[in-house]
Amino acid sequence: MAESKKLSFETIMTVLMEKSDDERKKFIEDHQASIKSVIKLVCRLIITGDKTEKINSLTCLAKISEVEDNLILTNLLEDTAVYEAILKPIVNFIHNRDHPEADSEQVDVIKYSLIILVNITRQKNCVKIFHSLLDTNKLLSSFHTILSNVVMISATDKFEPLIIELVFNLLLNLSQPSLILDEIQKNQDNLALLMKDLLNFFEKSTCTKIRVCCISIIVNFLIHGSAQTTLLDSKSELITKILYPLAGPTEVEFDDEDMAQLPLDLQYLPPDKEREADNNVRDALISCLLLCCNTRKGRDSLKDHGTYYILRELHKQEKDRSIQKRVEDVVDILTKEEEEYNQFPDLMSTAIPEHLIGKFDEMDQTLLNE
Amino acid sequence: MEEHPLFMTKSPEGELPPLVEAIAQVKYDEEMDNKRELAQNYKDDGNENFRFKKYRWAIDCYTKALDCKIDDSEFNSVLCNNRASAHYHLGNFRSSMQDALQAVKYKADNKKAVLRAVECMMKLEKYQQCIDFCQNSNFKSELNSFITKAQDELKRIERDLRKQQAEERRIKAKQEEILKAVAERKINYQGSLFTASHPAAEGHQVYLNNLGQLVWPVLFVYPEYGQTDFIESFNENDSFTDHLKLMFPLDENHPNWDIERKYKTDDLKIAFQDPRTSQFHPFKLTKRLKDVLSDSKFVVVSSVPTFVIVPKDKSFT
Repeated sequence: MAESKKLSFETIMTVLMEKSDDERKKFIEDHQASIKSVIKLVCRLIITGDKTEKINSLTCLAKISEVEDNLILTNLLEDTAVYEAILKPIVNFIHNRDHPEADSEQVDVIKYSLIILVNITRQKNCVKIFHSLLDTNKLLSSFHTILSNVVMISATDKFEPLIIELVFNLLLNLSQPSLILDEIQKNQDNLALLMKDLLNFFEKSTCTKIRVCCISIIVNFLIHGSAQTTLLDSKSELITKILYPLAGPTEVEFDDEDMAQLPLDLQYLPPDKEREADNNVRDALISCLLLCCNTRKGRDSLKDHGTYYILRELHKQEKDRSIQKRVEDVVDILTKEEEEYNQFPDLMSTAIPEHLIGKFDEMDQTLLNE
Repeated sequence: MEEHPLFMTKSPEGELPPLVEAIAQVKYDEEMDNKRELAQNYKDDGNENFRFKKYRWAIDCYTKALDCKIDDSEFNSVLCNNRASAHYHLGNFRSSMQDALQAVKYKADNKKAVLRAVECMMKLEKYQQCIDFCQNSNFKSELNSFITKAQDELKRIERDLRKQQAEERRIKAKQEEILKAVAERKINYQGSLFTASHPAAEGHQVYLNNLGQLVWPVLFVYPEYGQTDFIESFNENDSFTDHLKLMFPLDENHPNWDIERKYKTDDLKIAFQDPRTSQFHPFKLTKRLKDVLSDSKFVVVSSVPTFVIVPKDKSFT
């Protein structure tokens, strides 16, 4: 490596590692052209460098991946060796549940590799990476295995919560609709199992980011109208479990007549029952309900579970106007007569004339600003 | 007729005819080499009795068969399950469940016994045990409907518990409100304000109406005739005259026990007794209940304010 080049490279490294988030992002955006070659260099160092260099380059790549995820993805797809180097510790990590005490260096490798992976799997063309992480023939069951491994790992407290969070983010990215559509339609048993575990972990976890991920993965499943039959099977209790965090002290809020409309688990909740405090979690939960409105089965299920009543009380208490607005959206659909939907078996695939799309957004915006 | 064996209503007393005894001995001979055959005989008899709905006899037969202690778990499993069925028909769900579980222990894939055990658990409302049992059973996939039902029942029980707690909280809050109102009025009381000892007062207690007024159950005592009147709802703003007028109307509804017809509102006097001093404190009938209750000498005893009423010419003691 020529001396002058090395110097400038080190400067770049320093800037990337030490600057604050905003400064770093600006720096990367300002130096688009050189970043490309930096990525190439860093990737080489991951293979050829010594221990410290390896960690440093991984860190550096992780930082760049926050902005230039696509560029890195393209690079990795071309350079199999680097790709393997980043993927291997992750595959090893998520496909095993027993991990011996890892030293801080190994943890760093896992952490930064995960950050890179999470960032680049936001892209739709991450299919190849996707296939290396999950067994394509048994997509959902390997998804399920990873999930239960991570749950086990998180129970041991051996790894920092950030790593668990990252794995969940990775799973969320991998559950993006275009990737798993076929499998969801083929393999409903595994889907039900997977959702049950997600809901369980959602209930148990105290980390809001992980909770949002759990629900968002379910949102990704619900997008497929055809999967809703399985997801809304009465055994899964999906709606009840989604409504529970949104319900307040029903004992105080409802009279006996309205109470009878609720699922048993939501009836007579004591005065100290609190609603989910985190906006993002509530928002994700409402997204689930909204997606259920998409199909006949979903709407019937929502109605059977007294969703309207829970949302009515939530609406009174909701302080975040945009969430409140989404609650209104769900209620709007639920209070309409079913005949009105006869023409639209799948609301999501109903085409909206282009000139109206902007208008709808505008109307929503005015409502929000009111 | 009675003497003919076919029409006998009782089994013959005393010794069996020698021939019958001999047959019985052959059939149930404990000394028989082949215990297996004996057990089989008992089992067949049990089944025969079962067919004729003689469940108690069937149970005895199966028990005897089991007592033979044949070393054949399949055979024993069937015996236990048959006895479980007989118990089930008699409504002995606990015994039935124990036998069914024993049958499953002898042979894990005795499906009939598994189902019998599950049915008993549902009858006995052992829902959690039922769920655990189903989930560990070889026939788990076929028992899903039971699992769902048991889970529902558990949810219902939990809901009922929450409902009951809610009700208790509601009553407690109401009582606290009343106690606050009582304290504000400086009304003395002994014991609880919410549990009456007088039989007529049962189920009636002081309450706050929507106007924030206390409405009391009140007892009038007429010592002269040993009579009492219980007034369920005596608004604290009512005067005693208001109620006495209703008690002693001048028409045919006047109480019978007042033979002399001297109990007329204007001719009566009223007092309360201070339980601490046993002294009577007379007061004017035109007073409102509220004012009397707030008297420092007045004490509400066992939740019902009590007043003594006598004609003007009599004394209270």
